[in-house]
Amino acid sequence: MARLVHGFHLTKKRKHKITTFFLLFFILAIIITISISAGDSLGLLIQALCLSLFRLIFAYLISLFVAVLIAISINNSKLGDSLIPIFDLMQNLPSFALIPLFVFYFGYTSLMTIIFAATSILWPILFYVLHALKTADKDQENAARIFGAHGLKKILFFSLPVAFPAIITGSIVGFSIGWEAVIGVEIIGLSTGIGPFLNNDNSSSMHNKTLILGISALLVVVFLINRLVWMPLLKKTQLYAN
Amino acid sequence: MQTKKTILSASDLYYSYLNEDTGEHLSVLKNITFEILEGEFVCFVGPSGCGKSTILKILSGLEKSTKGKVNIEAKKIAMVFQNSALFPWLTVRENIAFGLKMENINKSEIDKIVTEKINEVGLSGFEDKYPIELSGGMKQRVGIARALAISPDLLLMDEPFSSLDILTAEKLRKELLDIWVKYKVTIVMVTHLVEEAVELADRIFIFAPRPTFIEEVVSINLDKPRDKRSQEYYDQVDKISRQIKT
Repeated sequence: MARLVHGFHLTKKRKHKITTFFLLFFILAIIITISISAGDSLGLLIQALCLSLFRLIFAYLISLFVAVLIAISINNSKLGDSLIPIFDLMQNLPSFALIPLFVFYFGYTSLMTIIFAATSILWPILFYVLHALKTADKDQENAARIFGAHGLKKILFFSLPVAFPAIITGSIVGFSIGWEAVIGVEIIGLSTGIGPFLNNDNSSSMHNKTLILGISALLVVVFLINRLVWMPLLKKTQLYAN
Repeated sequence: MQTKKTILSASDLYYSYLNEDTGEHLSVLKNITFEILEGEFVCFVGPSGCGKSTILKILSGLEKSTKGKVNIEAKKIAMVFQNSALFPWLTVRENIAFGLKMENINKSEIDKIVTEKINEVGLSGFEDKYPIELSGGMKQRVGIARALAISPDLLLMDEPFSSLDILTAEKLRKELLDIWVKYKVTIVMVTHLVEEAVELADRIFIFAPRPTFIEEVVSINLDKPRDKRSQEYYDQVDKISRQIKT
């Protein structure tokens, strides 16, 4: 079996696992202590986090579908190469500059947050997948064609597996960009979600407590998503090495 | 005497491509014409980079010739690649089953064929391994099994043993001959090793340097398996080696 990349060795070390466990335990202890002293904050926090996470997951799924679809279409089309500079230019546009445009069409709503976050998450997935498809092993592609993978079969049994490691890497980068987009829009113009929870009533004495509570809970959620979703998928991509 | 039918023919093939850096059209093939009979074992030899693999790609439909015609009577074509070209995300079993899956054959039939091919190429016990866990020789065995699994009547091989060590290559050549005898499949193999071509082929097509054309076709009328220590074998190798212009 191939040696796992350096990152996996790090997280596999016993010392690292123990440190991570204590850190997580410490953060959870903070959350519980503060929520006890701050009344019904825990319930509000869970509600806010779930809503933000729901917006983010929705945005991520849209971006994933659109990015993979565009990447495969570009790769399979002769005209596709001429679109790459256009996408390259578009991805350089600071995403927050587009907020007024989205607000104009959708107002400050959950839908607007999802669409805005989706446009931010899209780019890393699109470019990672496109690069993977463009640099795919030519002989493997020829083998797929000779053994009958054409059209949809080629997409399902060759292009998607070839792009799988890039989909995961792009998703990890995109998901973290998505958190920023969702929380950013929530803080700017929404009254629900983890953004307003962190920003709520910053003149009150309760503010510091809810701020620590919110950030700690975010840390736990991000950590758990990394550990339970991305790390196992990233580990699976090791098999895809030639 | 029963005459064998032509399974593959090429007439007046030309191939050139545009070099995007210089803007020049580079000519690779010119006036390639040949016929290959059913059940024949043909080897293409010639200097490195002359365009032998390009011909194989044109025959398999992976490339289109600039001019000329290819006529293939074979119902199924399979190919074995130099670097095996296995799919790294699939196990040995899944790689061998790939072509059958594309043909929408039912699962139990696929399992039966794949198990048979695994045993035939000596990969029992490695069914669930991934390509990354296999040696070069084992990968090439999987490549051969993947090709045989679809029961091809034309097998194209692009320098299949060139990246293997001498002993493994020697063993696989013997196994390939057994496979050829057993399945009576037509084989067209590109190689840069004259010894390999003389050991395996019924006919050897000698290609000129680029833009390539067929300089000569040599029939090897020695019984198989061939004695690599015989004077006849040495004479053939020597004769063909002298004819290859670098």
